[in-house]
Amino acid sequence: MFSGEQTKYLYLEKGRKLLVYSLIIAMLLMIWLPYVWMILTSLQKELDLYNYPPPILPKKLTLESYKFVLKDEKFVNSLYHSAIVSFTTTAICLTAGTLGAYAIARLRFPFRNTLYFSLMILYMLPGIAMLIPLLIIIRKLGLIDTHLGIILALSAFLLPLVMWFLKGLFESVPLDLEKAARVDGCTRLQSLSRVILPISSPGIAVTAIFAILTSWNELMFAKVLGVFNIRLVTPAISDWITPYDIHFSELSAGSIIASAPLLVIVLILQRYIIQGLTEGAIK
Amino acid sequence: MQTYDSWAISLKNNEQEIAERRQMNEGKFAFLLLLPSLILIAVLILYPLIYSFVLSLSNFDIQEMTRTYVGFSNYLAIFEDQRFAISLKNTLIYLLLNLILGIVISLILALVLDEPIRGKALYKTSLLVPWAISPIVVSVMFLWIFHANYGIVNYALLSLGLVREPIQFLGDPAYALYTITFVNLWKFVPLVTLILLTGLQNLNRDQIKAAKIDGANAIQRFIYIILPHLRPTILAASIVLIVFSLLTFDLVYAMTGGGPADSTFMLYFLAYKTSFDWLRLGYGASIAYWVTFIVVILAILMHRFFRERKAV
Repeated sequence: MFSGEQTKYLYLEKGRKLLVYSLIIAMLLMIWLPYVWMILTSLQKELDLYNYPPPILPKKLTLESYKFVLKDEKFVNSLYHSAIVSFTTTAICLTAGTLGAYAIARLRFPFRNTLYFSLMILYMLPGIAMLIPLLIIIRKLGLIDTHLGIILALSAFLLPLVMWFLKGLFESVPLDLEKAARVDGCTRLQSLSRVILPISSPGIAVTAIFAILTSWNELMFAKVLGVFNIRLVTPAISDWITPYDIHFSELSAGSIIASAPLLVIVLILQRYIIQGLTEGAIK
Repeated sequence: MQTYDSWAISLKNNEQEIAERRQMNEGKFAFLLLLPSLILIAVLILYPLIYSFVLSLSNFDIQEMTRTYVGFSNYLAIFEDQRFAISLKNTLIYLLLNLILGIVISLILALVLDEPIRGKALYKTSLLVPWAISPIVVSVMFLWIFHANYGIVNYALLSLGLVREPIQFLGDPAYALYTITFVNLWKFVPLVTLILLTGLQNLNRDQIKAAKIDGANAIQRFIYIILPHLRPTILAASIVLIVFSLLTFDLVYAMTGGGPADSTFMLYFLAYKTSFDWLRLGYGASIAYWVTFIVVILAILMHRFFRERKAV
C-alpha cells in the first residue's frame, strides 16, 4: 500500500494533470469556437439567425450565403485584386529584401548595425504617420486606385520586417559553406544564389507567408489607397459593416472565403511558421 | 603569367592596403545590394515621415490646398482637445489591460504548454489561428458573437441567469472598450504565448531540476528561478504586445467606429479620424507624431532588452 506521503504526492500529481488539461481544453475552445461559430453562421439562412433561442446546431445547413457572395462581382474582384497585390508585394519584398539582408548579414560596411536596428523601428512605425504623404505621393505619381500604388506602399511598409527575418536566416547559414563556394570560384552573388538561398529556402517560404498574410490582411492602407477600381478584400468586407443593416450570414461567408485559404496554409506549415515567428521575436 | 605573379606579389606586400581596399569594395557592393531597399524605404517611408512632420507644423486647408506654418501649436492643441483627453485615457486603460492580462494569461498558457503533455504540436498549431486571421474578419466574428440581441454570449449569460437584461457589449460606453480589449487579447495572447513558450524552452533545465531536488515546490521554482531568467523574454513580449495594441485600428474601425459616446476612441484611431474624416491634416499629423514618439521609445527599450538577453 502507499504511505501517506506517497498518496499525497499522487493526489497532487493528479490535481496538477487535471488543471493542466482543463486549461488546455479551455484554451482550445476559446481559440476555435469563435471561428467554428462563424462557419456555422455562414451556413445558415440569414433569417434563421434571428430565431430565439439561437440554434446551437443549425437544423438546416445551406450554401446560399456563399452562392450569394460569390455572385457579387465586387467581392470576387476584391479577392482577385488582393491576390495580385499580396503576391506582387511579397515578390518585391523578397527580392529587394534578399539582396539587402545578404549585405547586412555578410558584408562589412559603415552603419551596418545602425541600419539593422532601424529596421525594427521602421517596422513598428505607425502607418498613420505616413499615410497622408503616401496618398499625396501616390496621387502625384498617378498611381492612386491602381494595383501598383498599393503594392508600392505595402512593399515599403513590409520590407523592414522581411529584411529583419531574412538577415537572421542568412546569418544562420554556416560561413564555411559560403567560403568553400567562394574558393571554388563563385562570386558573392553566385554564392548567395547557389549556397545560401537553397539552404534557407524553408525559412524564405515562411517569410513569404508572413508577407502574403500581412499584405492580405492589411486594412488601413488598402482602404485609403484603393477606393473605387481597386477595392481589396479587407476594405470590401469592412464596407459591408454598416451601422444599421448587417447581413451576418453573408458577411460570415465572405469572411470565411477571405480567411480560410491562408489559414489552411498556415496550419499546414505550422512547424516552420512557429519557428520563424518565435525566432524572429526572440533573436 | 609574369604579370599575374607580380600582381600576386604586390598583393602580398600590401596586405593591409588590400584589406582596406577590399573593405571599401565590400562597402560599395553592400550599398549596391541595399540600394533597392533603401530607395523604397527612403521614398515611401522616410520622406512621408518627414512630410508628415512638416504637415504637423502647419494647418492644411483642404479646400484651398494651402499650407500655413503654425509652429508647434498643433502639438500643444491636444491639451485643449476634449476628445484627445478621452482618447488618451482610453488608450492608457486599453494598453494597461492588454499588457497585464495579456502577459499573465500568456504566461499561464506557456507554463501549461511547457508541461510534458500529449498532443503538444496540435495545441501549438491552434495558437496560430488568431494570428492568421485578419483583424477585420476577427471583428466580424465578434460583432456577431457579442451581438446585443442575437449574440451567443448574451444568450448564454441570460439562460444561465447571470444577467437579467442582455448586455450591450458594443453599444454601452461602460462595456465597449473592454469588449475591444477582449478581442485584441484573443488576437494577440496566442502569439505572446508562443514567444514565451520558446523562451521557457530555452531556459537551462538543470537549475530547475536542482531546485526541485532541493525541495522547492512549483510556485517557488516559478518565482525564484523561472521568472528571473525569463525576464528579458517577458519584457520583449510586453513591448510587442504594447506596440500592437497601441496600433489597434481595424477592431475599432469595424466594431465601434470610436463610439458609443467616444468610449472606444484611442490615439491611433483619433489620428486617422482627424486626418481622413475631419480633414484636419496638420492636427492629425501631430497626433500621429505623438504615437510615433511613443513607439520609437518602446522600440529603443526593446533593443535594450535584446542586448540584455544576448548578454545573459
